[in-house]
Amino acid sequence: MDKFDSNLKNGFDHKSELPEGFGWDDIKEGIYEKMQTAKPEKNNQNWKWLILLLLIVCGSGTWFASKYSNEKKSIPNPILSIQKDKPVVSDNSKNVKTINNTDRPNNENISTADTPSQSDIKQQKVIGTKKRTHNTFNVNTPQNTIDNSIIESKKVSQNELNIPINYDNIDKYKTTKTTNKTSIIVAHNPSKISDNIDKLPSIVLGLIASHPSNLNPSKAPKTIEAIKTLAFKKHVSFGLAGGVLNWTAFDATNINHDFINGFPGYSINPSISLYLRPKHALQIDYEYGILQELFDYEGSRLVETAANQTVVEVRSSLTGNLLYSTQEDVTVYATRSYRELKYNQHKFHTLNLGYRFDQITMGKSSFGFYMGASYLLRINSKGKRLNEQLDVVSFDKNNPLFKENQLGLRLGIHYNYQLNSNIKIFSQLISTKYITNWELDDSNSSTRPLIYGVQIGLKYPL
Amino acid sequence: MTDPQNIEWCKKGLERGHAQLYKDCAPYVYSHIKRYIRDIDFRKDIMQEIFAKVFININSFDTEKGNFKGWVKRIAINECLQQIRKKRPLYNAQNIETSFDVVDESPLPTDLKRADIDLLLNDMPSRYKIVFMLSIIDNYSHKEIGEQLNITEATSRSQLTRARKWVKQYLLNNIQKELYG
Repeated sequence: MDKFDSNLKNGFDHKSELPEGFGWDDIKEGIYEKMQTAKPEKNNQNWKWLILLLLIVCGSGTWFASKYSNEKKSIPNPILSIQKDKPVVSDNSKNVKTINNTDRPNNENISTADTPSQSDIKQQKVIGTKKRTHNTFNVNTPQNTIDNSIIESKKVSQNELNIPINYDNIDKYKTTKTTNKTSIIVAHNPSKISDNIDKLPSIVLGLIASHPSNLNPSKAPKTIEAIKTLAFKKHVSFGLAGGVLNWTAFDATNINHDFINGFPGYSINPSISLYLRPKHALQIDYEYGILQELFDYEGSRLVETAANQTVVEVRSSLTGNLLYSTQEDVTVYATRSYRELKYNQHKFHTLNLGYRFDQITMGKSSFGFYMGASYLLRINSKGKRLNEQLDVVSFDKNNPLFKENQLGLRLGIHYNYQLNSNIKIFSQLISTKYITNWELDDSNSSTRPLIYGVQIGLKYPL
Repeated sequence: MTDPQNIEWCKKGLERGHAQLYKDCAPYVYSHIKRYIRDIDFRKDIMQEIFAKVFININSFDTEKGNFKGWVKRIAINECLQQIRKKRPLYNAQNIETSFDVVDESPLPTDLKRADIDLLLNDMPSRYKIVFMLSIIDNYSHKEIGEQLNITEATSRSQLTRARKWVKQYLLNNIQKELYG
């Protein structure tokens, strides 16, 4: 640095006086407006949010699990009351015995055979074989009765009655209030139900009987939903979906995205859902995806060409006569206009943990939503970007702005259709808003995109 | 440059911190804006942009490790360059003439006054000015200038050489005007 440089530098190395209109009161409003439109940096908050989110997800799961467990213990038998001091079964050589209709065929109606002396008993049935586990139940209030439809459903053909006991089949047998009073004996092991007894009630009774420890005469499940809950067993289902996705990259404080537009990419998304209770599941899923964007920029750049010992001639434009000639090292400058049109790609792995709820069920269809946390690992990027100075630069893993690890919040809605007893086809709209920065620059500015997409897939219970 | 307490207040988002930090830093920031931005009306907008960035990103600044003055200066210069390029590309066909590099190592005058420097920079063609200021005043290396302006290091050097030549000619003309009217 020579003295001139030093003089210049020193000349500028001090403060300038502020002109009028640059006082704090004059300028603060504009600063705060610009701060509001810019995205504040909250890196140090991200982990707190993630931990909070994970706690919510884990807490919800634990709550559902414990609630399910509690319900199992507390759901009483509304229909039945225990008469331990009045054993009804004397013959345990047979699995099932109907007292009033011992040898009645399976498809025969149950006769109700009311007698004044048995005013609180319309019929008695014996189910099961375990002598020491016999229980006798009385239905003695209108709300604590097995409805007529269950009894009447004995008319249903044997084929229908052979429907396996599961959650979905229960819908076919609805309970209603009745004044009939029925006393029923239920054994603990529903699998030993005799072929000689009508099977339809045994579906319900078997389900109830499968939870003998839950029988509590003081409380009553009043709806079919409660029976469904009793029938429900925790299970896992596997899903596989694929689809298209797009993204919106919001402008960062000083990273320019003016020339970038989202372009459809694609993803594949296997998932595992743990159903802790009907309609409620914890879901973990992995997603491999490719985000795409279209980079379209027109600019110009300076081109410099050096030539050693080049002959330079100056001629008159009128006569063409040579006026001057020399031989010099020459540098020729020019600008070159260009257009950059690139499809950028970002490949990533995502691991998501969330809660899935199938809210509305209509026949074979159901709708629901999903919420959870998302961790994304960018594998690589390929393409072009503008840097802060609007220069076109390559954007890949080696770019200093590239950031691998991202955290986000994931929300979705889904529609399921039950294809058969096992397989569901589903479609879902998923969006993930990232709460961490995707790019960094010197002043640690950022962008946090929103990724959204639509997928279709299949779900299969394991 | 400013009391660390102000920085802490700014990190907490307190307006008194913003106000005090602005009062302390604004003259220094403005001196940079003035050098890069000719449009006086536009300077206020850039001033607001710069301080908005400073306040937003101040949480990332470590008062124990970082040089606050350098950090603010960096943001200010980056913002000025960005705004210049948004308004008008630095290098386009109209501004670049074919020229010969002539090495001229004769020294420049050393007794320039501040007012002379202001005039000189005000009159300097923008194609030289950015490289000149980045190199001479802001101590950027040619490599850094190349990265900032997307030009080669050689181009940065040659632009600086031409800028110095222009300065010399400019000062000579001024002296002649003073002597001969």
